[in-house]
Amino acid sequence: MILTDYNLIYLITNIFGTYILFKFMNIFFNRHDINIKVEFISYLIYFIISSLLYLFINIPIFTLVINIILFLVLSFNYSATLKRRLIAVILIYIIMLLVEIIIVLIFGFIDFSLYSSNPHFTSIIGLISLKLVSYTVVLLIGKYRNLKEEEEMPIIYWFAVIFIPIGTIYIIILLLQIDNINSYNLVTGIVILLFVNIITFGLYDRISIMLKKQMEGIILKQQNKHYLEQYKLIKESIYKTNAIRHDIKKHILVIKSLIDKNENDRAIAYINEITDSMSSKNIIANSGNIVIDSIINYKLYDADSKKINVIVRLMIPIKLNISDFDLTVILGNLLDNAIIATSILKNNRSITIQIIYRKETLFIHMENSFNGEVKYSKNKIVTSHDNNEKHGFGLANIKTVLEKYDGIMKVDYTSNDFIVDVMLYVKTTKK
Amino acid sequence: MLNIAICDDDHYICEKLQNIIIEIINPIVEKAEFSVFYSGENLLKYLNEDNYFDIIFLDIELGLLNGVEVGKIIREKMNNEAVLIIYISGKESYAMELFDIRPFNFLIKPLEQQKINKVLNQAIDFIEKGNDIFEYNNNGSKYRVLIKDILYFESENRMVKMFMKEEIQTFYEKLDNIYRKLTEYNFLCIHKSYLVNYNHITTITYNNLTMSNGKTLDISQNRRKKIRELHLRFERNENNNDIN
Repeated sequence: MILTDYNLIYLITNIFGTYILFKFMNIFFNRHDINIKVEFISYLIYFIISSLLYLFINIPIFTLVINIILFLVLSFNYSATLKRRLIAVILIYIIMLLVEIIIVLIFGFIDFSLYSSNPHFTSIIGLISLKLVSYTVVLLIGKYRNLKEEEEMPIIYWFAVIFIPIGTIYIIILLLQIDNINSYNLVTGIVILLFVNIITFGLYDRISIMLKKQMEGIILKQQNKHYLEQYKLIKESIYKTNAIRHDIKKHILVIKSLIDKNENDRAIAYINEITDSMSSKNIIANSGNIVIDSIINYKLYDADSKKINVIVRLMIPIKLNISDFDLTVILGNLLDNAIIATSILKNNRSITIQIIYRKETLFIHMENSFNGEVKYSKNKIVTSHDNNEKHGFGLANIKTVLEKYDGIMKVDYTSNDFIVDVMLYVKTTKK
Repeated sequence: MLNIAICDDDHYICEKLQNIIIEIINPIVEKAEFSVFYSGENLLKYLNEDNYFDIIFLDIELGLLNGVEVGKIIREKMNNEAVLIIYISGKESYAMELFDIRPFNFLIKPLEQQKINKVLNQAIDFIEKGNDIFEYNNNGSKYRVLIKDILYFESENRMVKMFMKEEIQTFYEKLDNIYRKLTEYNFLCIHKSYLVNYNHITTITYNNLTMSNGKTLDISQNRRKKIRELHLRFERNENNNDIN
């Protein structure tokens, strides 16, 4: 077997192909408990076996069977049920087969031999196109899956996914049209182009992950602030209660003497004074659920001075089976919107919060007075403040979190009141 | 007649609560009977003797057998989903297990007349609605049952099976007709063969729900969104009366 251009390029595209297979597998399987070394070696072995198969034994049926077996073996890198494995392997194989058939059909219609003097032109273009189109398909499927979860893909991404691989094919055609081009130059050129493809999209993925982590970091920071404030409030409350407890003997004697003298009214006034000094106006929420209490207390601690009338009703357990993060996003955003809307008003500012847990469902009801203006943008309600990033990303983020719990949000408004109802399914934590 | 039980180891609370309740229900209710218990065991013993209450005011911080355990026994061992349990507590924090008992509401000590007024009125409305009657025909005779005792209806061919706590009644009727008769009573049509009493649902998710007799029913796929909305609407209505 001579190391012709063709065979060399085949090997290179097969490396690319193995990489594509790797990406494909990772769409279907998750990476828990993965042994990277073993994984790498297994894909390496796949590359070697499939290359040898292609170059020396070119019997289609044989290739088909061995390939499916190899796919199945590769799938054992990942933990999954047998059913999932079989479905994934079959799907991957069918999709790749379909791409191959389509490319072959296209090449059947176009006579490429006109474009170059290289005798293997058609096959080389065929090989590379096949791999690039498969790569595009894998990228598209991968991102489609992500769409369902959380990511929003900018339009330019879709554009890039189509344009960059097609552009690459075009440039390779150009390369192949150069008469007497040095084989090494040709091969190097092709390798570089394929590399650019992989790096572009790989980079995009890395950056998205980074951004996501950044966002999470911001929210966690916010959350920590809430916790810190709550901790301070609790400390303050404990301190006050301790102070009272020390003086309790003294207080009891005073009350006793007032009652002995039949000055009951004064006695009651004295008792009220004590209970007043025990409670703190800053603790609005006291359900025992730290996450919810801290968010409400933190965001509304200065409600009094801002002249916002706050009503809070909480019928919730101390610990809910929903991540603190998600709860923070939902409640934080709802409260931010309510606070901003009422701050615009000159008077009659009020916020009502009701959170109830019933039938293993969490209901959040938030009402606030507002000035009657609701702005819509593209069928979605736009908040009346500009700095979305600082304030926790708004109603859209609430919806994203709600999807996790099959929840919904309903918005209603009259000329004076803005009402948001949020509902999500939260199972009880069974011991 | 309204049957009310008060269970608290603090005699003073029991007396105060009873007086407040009497004052509140005097103008609204014709007849009411009170039973006071100073321990959970006594309440349970009395219930075991086949006695019946509409509402039980139950202290959480009871003595030997605390309010949570009492509630659990009432709901699970005695399989009583209908009685309204209103918890009285000195704290505002509640553990998750309290919610498994599906209390109607909570009252926080010190007891305030205004709050009790609101809760009690809600409870009475709820009870009166539940005490409405559902009529059906079977073999030529007319039968009547309390709506609050109906868990769900299941249709099989042209017959309908009505599941109640202790019995199942079967008769000829179309599920649609029953749904129409019960529109104002919070029944959910979760499936073309199932019509379910919202008040007897113990847990619910997007895909299915569990009734107070332990039976889990699937919500048919094309109805899931609608049911979720109705679920929210029912709760909103119940809770709206709470705030205002």
